[in-house]
Amino acid sequence: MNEMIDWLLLLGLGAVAITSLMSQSIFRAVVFFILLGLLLSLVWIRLDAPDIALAEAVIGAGITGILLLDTLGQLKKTGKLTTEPSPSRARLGLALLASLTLVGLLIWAVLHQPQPAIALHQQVADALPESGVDHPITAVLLNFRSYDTLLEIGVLVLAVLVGLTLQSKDAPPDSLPGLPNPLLHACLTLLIPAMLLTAAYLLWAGADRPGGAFQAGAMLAAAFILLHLSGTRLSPRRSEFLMKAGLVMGFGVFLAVAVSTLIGGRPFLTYPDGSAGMLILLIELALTLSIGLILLSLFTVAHTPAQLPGKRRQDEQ
Amino acid sequence: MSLMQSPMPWLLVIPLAGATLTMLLPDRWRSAASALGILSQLVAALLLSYQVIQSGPQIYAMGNWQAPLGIALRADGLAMLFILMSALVSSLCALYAQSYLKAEKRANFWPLFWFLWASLNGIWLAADTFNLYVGLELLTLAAVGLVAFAADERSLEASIRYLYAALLGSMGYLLGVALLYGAHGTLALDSLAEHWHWGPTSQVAVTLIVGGLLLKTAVFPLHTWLPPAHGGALTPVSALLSALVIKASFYMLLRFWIELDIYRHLPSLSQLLGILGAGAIFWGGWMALRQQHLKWVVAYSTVAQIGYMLLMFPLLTAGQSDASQLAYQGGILMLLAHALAKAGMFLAAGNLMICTGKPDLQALAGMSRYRPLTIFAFGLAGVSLMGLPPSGGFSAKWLLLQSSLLSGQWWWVVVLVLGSLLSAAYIFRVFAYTYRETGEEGDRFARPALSMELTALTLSVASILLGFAAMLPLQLISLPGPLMEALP
Repeated sequence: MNEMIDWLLLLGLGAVAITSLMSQSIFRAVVFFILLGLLLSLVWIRLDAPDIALAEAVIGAGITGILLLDTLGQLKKTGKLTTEPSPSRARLGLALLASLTLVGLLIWAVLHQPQPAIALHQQVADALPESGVDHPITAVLLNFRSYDTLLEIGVLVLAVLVGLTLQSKDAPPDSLPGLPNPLLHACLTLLIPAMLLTAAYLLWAGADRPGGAFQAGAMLAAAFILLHLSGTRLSPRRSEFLMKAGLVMGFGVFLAVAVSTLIGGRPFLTYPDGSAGMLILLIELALTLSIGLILLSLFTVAHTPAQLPGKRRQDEQ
Repeated sequence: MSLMQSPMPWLLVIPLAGATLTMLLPDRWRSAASALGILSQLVAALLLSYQVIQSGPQIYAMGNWQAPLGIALRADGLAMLFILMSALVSSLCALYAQSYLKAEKRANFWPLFWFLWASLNGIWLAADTFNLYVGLELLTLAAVGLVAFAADERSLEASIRYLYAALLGSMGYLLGVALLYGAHGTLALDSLAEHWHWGPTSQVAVTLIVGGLLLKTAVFPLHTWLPPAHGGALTPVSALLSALVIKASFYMLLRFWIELDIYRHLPSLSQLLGILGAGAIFWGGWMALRQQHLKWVVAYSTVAQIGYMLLMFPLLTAGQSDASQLAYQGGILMLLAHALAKAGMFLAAGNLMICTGKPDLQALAGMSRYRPLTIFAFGLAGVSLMGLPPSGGFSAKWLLLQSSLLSGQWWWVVVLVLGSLLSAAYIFRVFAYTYRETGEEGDRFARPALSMELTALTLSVASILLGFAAMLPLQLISLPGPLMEALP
């Protein structure tokens, strides 16, 4: 039975991927891409990796899908959507050949994979009691390899920074009207608390089971984007500074905790004995909020009108 | 205090904190905070080099978890050289940018600049294959952001192209790392080398990693994204990209190549890299000769110079210890000389473009009389790029030449000599334009700030001085360490 599910998933993945690539209409391609993300998250569940499945569903299918649909909408609105002529036979054949070669190579490599000399998962299990959390993935992300995670958060902050830098100077003001639909608002009053509660649960659950800051932050972002789309603005109208502070807060708190350990004479990112759990929770709280805001900003950055730099300078003087 | 114990984490903390602060601080504090950050970076870099020279390579376990469970940082002679190089080039480029950029551009420049520096230091110090990937991602995004923030149509297009190429390269690298992890159970470079298992999995992994890194280094024929990105960016950004950013993936390639013994297992791949290098030298030189846009000449010259660095790979051959040593030293010296000379040349080119207000070579007429200092800086950088004595470029080519004669691969000598002639041709072509007479309209030139002329000159002079003081970096990179032990 399970084997049949696996084969179905595999075939489904291939079919959906090819449909998405070959589709003439971009809208169709995007929809199939979202479907691909959902199928992939099922594959991760079958591979016993629920953490990745959650992240894939929320970020791979959810946020990326929304971004793609939104870009498509923007392009249609501004009339910049051009349909590419379908690629020539030769190019198509070349692409097919390249991807098939890569797949063949990868299969060959995986089939000949030797037994690893080092059993890292055993080392993780051995060190888990000292890590301050009970879930090995959270332990790896926020303790054993926390340096990688710190830099990854840096990548997220950087992404939104590049987005803010590119914010088009002559964009028309955000004209998306609030939809005056009572049913929508009734749904929102039910949905938003549930989403916030789920985010909080995911954050808390990260200590001993799948979940954590990334998933919780993505869920938070989904709630923010839903609010944004139905007309409620979290955008930095009133204070650009406050928004920026929110964006870098997670990174800042993480960095501050990491540096504060240096002052006690411990190596960088070494949590003091006994307080690892607390510090990890603190970092994750800040990260959740920042990740939520970052993903929201990546979404709204295309809409919000840029503040005139000249005006900002006057404000400061 | 822990700063005294090891300055290593500070090389990352300072730029990361700098990025956060420059995002939040008001305009007038940004530059002050950055200046303070640059000074403390220089101090930390010098402290760490002192430690490395005194007591050999340093290992720093992040979070006090030993590799392979945790992530270790490692500072050996090679890493130190790169840290000092990026400290010198970045601080001078930052000084240049302070005068070059308008206030509203600076607001976005500083955070991106600090993220770029953090990722560079992270890559030089990394001893973990996945950590290197994260560093590369940070580097790519910062570099793409810096290219894009010129914010005209062409630079946006160039940055998107750059982003796609760089992401494809990262993906190849990541796939390779995943395969290596599956086969060895570890991500740390040291333990990978210790348990190295050369089978089909490793072969595919190495192919993917090398391919990805070659794309990111813009090695011919995968270089097409480089000229628009480096030629179209704002001047201080072009200098940072050509001098430092492409060196990061090259540095990773070199570490993998030597520490994981790839040169021993795949001698044919070494020759292939050499052939690609020769292709880059001729194609880059030829294209540089045909450009009409000053910065595109300099950008294509980068494509050609990457070729010289690649010539080191076929000369690193098992069983020929002396030739390999010379090749290693020559290649690294080449890289260092290029970093200094190319940064100097881009900054000088930027100054010339400010003078004329136009990017074209045609507009340079009369420049040699009007801006002798800038032309001098451009010329000194050119001397090093051509490889004329006495300059860093000459010493590097001399070492590579000796190495190829010693290992009996004389054909690389031909490539070196012909390539140098080609470089001379495209640099003298620029000069020829500056000596043309303008007639009576010679007084409409704008004037770049003195600090901008001096930063360009400092970098170019450094690339010449490197020829006299080549022993210093060579001693630094020959300090004992895992890399030196793995060298044939």
